[in-house]
Amino acid sequence: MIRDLLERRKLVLLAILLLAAMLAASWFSGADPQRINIVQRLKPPSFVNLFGTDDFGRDVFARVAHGARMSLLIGLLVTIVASLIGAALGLLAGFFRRLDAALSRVLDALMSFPDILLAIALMAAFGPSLFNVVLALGLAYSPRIGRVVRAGTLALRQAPYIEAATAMGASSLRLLVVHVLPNVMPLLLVQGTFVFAFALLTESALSFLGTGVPPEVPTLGNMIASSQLYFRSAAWTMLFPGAAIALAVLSLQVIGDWLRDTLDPILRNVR
Amino acid sequence: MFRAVSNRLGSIATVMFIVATVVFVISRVIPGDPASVVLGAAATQDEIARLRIDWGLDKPLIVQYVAFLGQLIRLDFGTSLFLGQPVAAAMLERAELTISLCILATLISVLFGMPLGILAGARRDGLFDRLGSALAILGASLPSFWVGLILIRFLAVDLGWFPVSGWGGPEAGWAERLHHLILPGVVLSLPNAVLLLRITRTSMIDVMSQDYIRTARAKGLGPSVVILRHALRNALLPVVTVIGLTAALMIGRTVVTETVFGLPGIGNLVVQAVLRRDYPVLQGVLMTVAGLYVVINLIVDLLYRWIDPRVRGSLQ
Repeated sequence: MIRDLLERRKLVLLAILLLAAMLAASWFSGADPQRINIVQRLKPPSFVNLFGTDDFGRDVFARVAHGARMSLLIGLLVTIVASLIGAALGLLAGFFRRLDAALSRVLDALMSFPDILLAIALMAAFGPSLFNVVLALGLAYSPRIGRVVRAGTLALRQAPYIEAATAMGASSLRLLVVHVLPNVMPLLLVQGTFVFAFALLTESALSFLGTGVPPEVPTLGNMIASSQLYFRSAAWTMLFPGAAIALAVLSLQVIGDWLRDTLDPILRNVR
Repeated sequence: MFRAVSNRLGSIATVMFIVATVVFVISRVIPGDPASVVLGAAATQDEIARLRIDWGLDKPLIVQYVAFLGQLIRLDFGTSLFLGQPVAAAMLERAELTISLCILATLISVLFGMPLGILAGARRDGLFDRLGSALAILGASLPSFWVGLILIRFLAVDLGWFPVSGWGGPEAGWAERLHHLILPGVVLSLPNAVLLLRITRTSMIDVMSQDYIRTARAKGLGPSVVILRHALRNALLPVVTVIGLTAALMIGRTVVTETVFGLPGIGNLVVQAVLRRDYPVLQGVLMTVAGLYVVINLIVDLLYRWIDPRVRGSLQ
């Protein structure tokens, strides 16, 4: 059991290091991701170009390194937006009984759209830009956070210490911010990590469909989308960016699973 | 039972009303006037104004909103701006492909996810459990369009085992259709298979720690009898509900799969609609998919109450 735990910690450490490396890789990659070199176009992986070159002769390794940082940044922003909206809705729904029925139905309604479909529709409405992708995905994922926060708040509301604080005359705002919010944070953290992972996947899918961030923004999804024309002869232009997405999502899920199990005693009390 | 049903129906009506409102708001925010989009750059102001009146776009938003809700109640989704046919007809035309694809993907995910989950859960921390958990987390991390592109590149282009795209001509037989749908089916099933594996595993572990399993073992029954005859029946209960819900969510993901494999289904219709600003189609598909999800949710919920005697007692 203890040996398992140690192994698990090593795995989580590895995941964190991997994410850090992906964030930092663009500083060490050397080559300029935008430098066009037509003579060297669509060259397979070699010691000069570790991941090969794309149709403009640009270094795929440098582009993956830069794209990974951009994709992770977008994913993080999506998680923050989804957490802000979801936590606000969840806290209000869980704490005020009168609001619960209405807000819960809103969350149900948003959940009944498949996330990618809602994101596409919102992108059609907002128009293509980096900011809009963050907003659309943030909205699409907010109910996942909202539901969990609501359940946590609902359980906490009955807790004796909340009753004591109410008896001492604490205002609703104080109860929510000082007494409830810190205690639903573990829930938010666990769910947020998974939303981060989903957001990376969905963001790249949006780019692939041509409804995501504008094509000139160097994200991993855009790299795969633009490789579609020639990936049959030059598979490396598509393999490496996709592997980078998969590794990032995998790392986040490992961290999320670990957080959930580690914070379990706290979570069990909430449920 | 009756009260449970009527309660659920009430909240479903509310949810669908909110869904409709969200869809209406999204479609009215879409930039560009649909009338001028359809008529093109050569249209005169007069023609555009006439088309706007035809479509009721000149009326105040609130009137359009009420008209939209009225249409929905009659299950009328309006006419596509580009296809020159009613949205419902356009969806029906493409439904065969999308539904076949979803059924195939569900079959694949059940065929792989459930046995692996049973093996993993039957002996916790055993070889299959470690293998299954690794597979589960890996499978949930792969971007599906990327997996699709890899399968196309290596299995379809290089080896020629499968067609690269489409699903055969209009006269293609079922065997040819199936051949075309295998790769997309595998891609679509991946997240669901992984989820099923996880749920089955958890459920098996739960059941395997029950007293009656210990008793069965103590009686001297072999592991296969204990697992297949005693544990499986109870372990599969939650799994059945997950199959239903994931099948509903699958429809959303066909958007990506159908684009990768060039399949002219409902998912493809949505992408085209978004790129061409064909908002009646977008509205229709969004309403249908969300509605399906809500209805399947209800059926699964009621089915679960009906199957499980313990839940049957606790109807709210």
